[in-house]
Amino acid sequence: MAHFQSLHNICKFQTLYPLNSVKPRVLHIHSRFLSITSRARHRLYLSPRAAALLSQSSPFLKFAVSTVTTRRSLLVPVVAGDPAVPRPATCLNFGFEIGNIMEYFDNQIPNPIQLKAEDDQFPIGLKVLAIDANIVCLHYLVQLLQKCQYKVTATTKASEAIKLLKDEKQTFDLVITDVVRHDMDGFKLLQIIGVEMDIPVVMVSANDELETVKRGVMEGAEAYLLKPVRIQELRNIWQHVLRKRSARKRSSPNLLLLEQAVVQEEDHNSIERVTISMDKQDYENDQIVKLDDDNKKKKHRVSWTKELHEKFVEAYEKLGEKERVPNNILKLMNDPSLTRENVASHLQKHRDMLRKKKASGVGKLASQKNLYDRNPTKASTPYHSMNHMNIVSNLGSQFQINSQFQLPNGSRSSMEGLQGNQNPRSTWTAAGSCCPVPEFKWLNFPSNNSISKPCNIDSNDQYLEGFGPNNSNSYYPPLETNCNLTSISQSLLGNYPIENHNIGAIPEQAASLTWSSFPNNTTTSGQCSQMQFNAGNPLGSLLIDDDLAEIFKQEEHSSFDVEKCASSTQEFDF
Amino acid sequence: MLGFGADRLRADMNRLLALLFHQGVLDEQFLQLQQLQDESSPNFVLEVVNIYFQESERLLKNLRALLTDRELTDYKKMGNHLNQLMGSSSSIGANRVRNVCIAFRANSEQNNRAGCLRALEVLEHEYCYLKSKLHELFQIEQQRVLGAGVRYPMQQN
Repeated sequence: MAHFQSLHNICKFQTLYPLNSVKPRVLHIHSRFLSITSRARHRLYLSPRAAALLSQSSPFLKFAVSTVTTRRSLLVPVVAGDPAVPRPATCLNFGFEIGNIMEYFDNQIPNPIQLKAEDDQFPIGLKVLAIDANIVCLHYLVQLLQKCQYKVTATTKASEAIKLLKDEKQTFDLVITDVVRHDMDGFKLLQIIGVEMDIPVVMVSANDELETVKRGVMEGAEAYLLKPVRIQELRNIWQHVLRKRSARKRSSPNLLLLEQAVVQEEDHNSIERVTISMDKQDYENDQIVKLDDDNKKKKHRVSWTKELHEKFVEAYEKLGEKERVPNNILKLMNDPSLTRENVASHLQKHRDMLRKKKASGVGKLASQKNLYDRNPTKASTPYHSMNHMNIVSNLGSQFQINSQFQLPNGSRSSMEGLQGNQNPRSTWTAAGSCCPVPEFKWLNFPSNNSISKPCNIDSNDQYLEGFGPNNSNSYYPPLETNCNLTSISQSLLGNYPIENHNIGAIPEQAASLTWSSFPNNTTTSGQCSQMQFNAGNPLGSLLIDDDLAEIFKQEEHSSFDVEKCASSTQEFDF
Repeated sequence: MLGFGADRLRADMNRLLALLFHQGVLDEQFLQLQQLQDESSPNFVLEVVNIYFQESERLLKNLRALLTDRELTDYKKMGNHLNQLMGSSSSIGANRVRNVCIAFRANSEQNNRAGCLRALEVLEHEYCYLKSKLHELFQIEQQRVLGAGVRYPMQQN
C-alpha cells in the first residue's frame, strides 16, 4: 500500500470498473508514466501470473499493487528509478519492453501449478469443480467424476463456487456447471469462470434446446453436455484442460488479457471511464478486437463474401467519419450472422486497405480482390505471378515508408490476400501449410500475431507478414515456436546494454526502430521481440505525430479522473 | 442354505428390474448408476435415490402449490421446477417421470393450466409408482445383502 501511495503520482491508473464488481479490473497504464521519455501511449495488461512472477524479482522493481483480479492480485511494475539498484537483465526502460518481459516470464517460468499437475499421470487427479443446483445430479456427477479418478469438489451454490475459485489455496483445472439455476445463471458463471478466470468450463444441462446449447458454446464453454451425463463423456473431459494449457503456452498472456478487456469493454460501455479521443479509442479497440479475433479463430470465422463486403461498404459509406464504429455498421448491415468483433476486424482491414490505396495505386486491385476472397481455390492461377509482383512492390514501398520491421497491419491483410492467391494449398484453418513454399523462403519471418495463435496457424501469416527487401539476414525458421521466440528475445534482452541507450532522445517512431538500428542487432531476435511487442501494442506504430499530440492533450485532460480512480483504489487493502 | 436364499433374492431383483425396464419406468441410466456403486461408495444408489425422493417431493409440493394458486400461476417458476425434476429424473434413470415432465413443461409453456393440472396428476402417480417399486427393489437388495452375509457386494448380476 505504501508503494502505491508513493507511486501514484508517477503512475496513474485507470480502473475501468467499479471496485465492488466481481469482474477483474484491468488497468490502463500509460507507458508515459512508466518511462517518461517514451512518448508512445501503450496500454499494458498484465496477466496475473506475469505480475506475480514479476513481483518475485521485486528487488529490482517497484510494484504498485492495484486492484484485484479474480484470483490473484494484479501487480503493476513500475520502473525502479534508482540508478544505484542493479538493473535486472530484463530492464524496464521502455514501456514496450514490459510486453516482452511479460512474455518472457509467462513462457519461461513454468507455472508451478501446471508443472505439478503435469508431473502426475495427467488426467488422474485433475481438479474439477462441479456446480449443480440439482443435488441429485450433483451427486451423480461427483460419483462419475470420482470414477474417472478426478479430484472433485462439489457445490450447489454459485456463490460458493466462486468463493472456492477465488481461494488461492485451491486451484481447479476444470469447472463443470449446470445452466439453469436460481441464484446465478449458468451463463453468468461461465462468463466469470471461463472468460475471466480462464478456466475451462463444461456445461451440463437437461435443457437440449438448440439455442441454449449454441449460446453456451458461443460464450466460451468448452463443451455442452446433456443430462444425464455418461461416464464415457466425462472420461475424456481432460482434453479441454490439455487444450487450454497448450493454448496458454502458445498464446501471449497479454493477448489473453486483451481478450478479457475486449469482452469487458463491450459489457461495460455504460461504466464511466476515461475516454481518450473517441475515434482513437475505437480504432484501438478494433485493433484489440482483431487480435482477439485471431486468437479465437476457430470459434467463429465469418467468411466475407463479396455480397457481405458490399453490404459492409454500403454501410461504411453511409456513415460519417466519426460514426464509423463497428456497432453502427453492424446495425446498418443488420446481419444476424455477424458479431461486433467480426465487423470490427473487417473494418480494420478495410481501413488499412483504404490507407494503402492512398499510399500507392499499384496492386490495389489485386490486394482488394484477395482480401475479401479468402478461398484460395477461387483465385485464378494465371494472375498469380502478376498479383504477387504487384503486391510485393506495393508492400516494398510500404515498408520503406514505415520501417522495415514495424509491420503495419495493413500489410498483413494484403498479405493474406497474397497468401490465398499464391499458395492454393493453404487454407485459413489449421490445416494450412506448415512448411514454407520454396519461392517464399525470404518471407519467413515471425508475424506480429504469431504469439497469439497455435503454431500451425501462424505459419500462414508467418511467411507472409514480415518481409523486407533487405532482410536476407533475418531468415527465420518457419517452424519456430513461441518458446524459441521468447528465449531468443530473452537472451537478447539479457545482453542488451540498456545504459548505452539514450532513451530520452528516442522519439516515437525512432523508438520503434531501435532494434534495427542497434549495432549488434543483426540477429532476428531483436526483430522478433519487437514483433511481440507489436502484438500487444498495435497502436504505437501507426500513430503519426498529430495523433500523438491529440492523445496527449486528451490525456492531460483525463488525468484528473485517473487520479480520482487511483485514490479510490487505495481503499483496497491487500 | 443362505446361498440359495441369496440366489432367489437376486432372481427376484432381476425380475423386478426387468419389469420396470419393460414398463419404461427405468432406463439404462439406472444401470449406469448401479455400475458406479463400488467398494468406496457401497450405498451410492440408495443415497442418490433417497436424495432424489426428497428433492422430488419438495418439487412436487411446490408445483402443486403453484398450480392451486388461484390468482396467478408463475409458469416460469414452474418451468424451473420442472427442469430440475427432469434433470434429476434423467440422472437416476426415471424415464417415465421424465417423460411426463416433458409433457408438463410443454403445457406450462403454453400457459395451459388445465393441462398442467392433468400432467401434475400423472406425474404424482408416476412418482408414487416409481417410489414404491424402487423401495421394493431396495428392500430385496437389503435382504440379499444381509442374507448373503456379505457386506456390500459388487453389483454384478
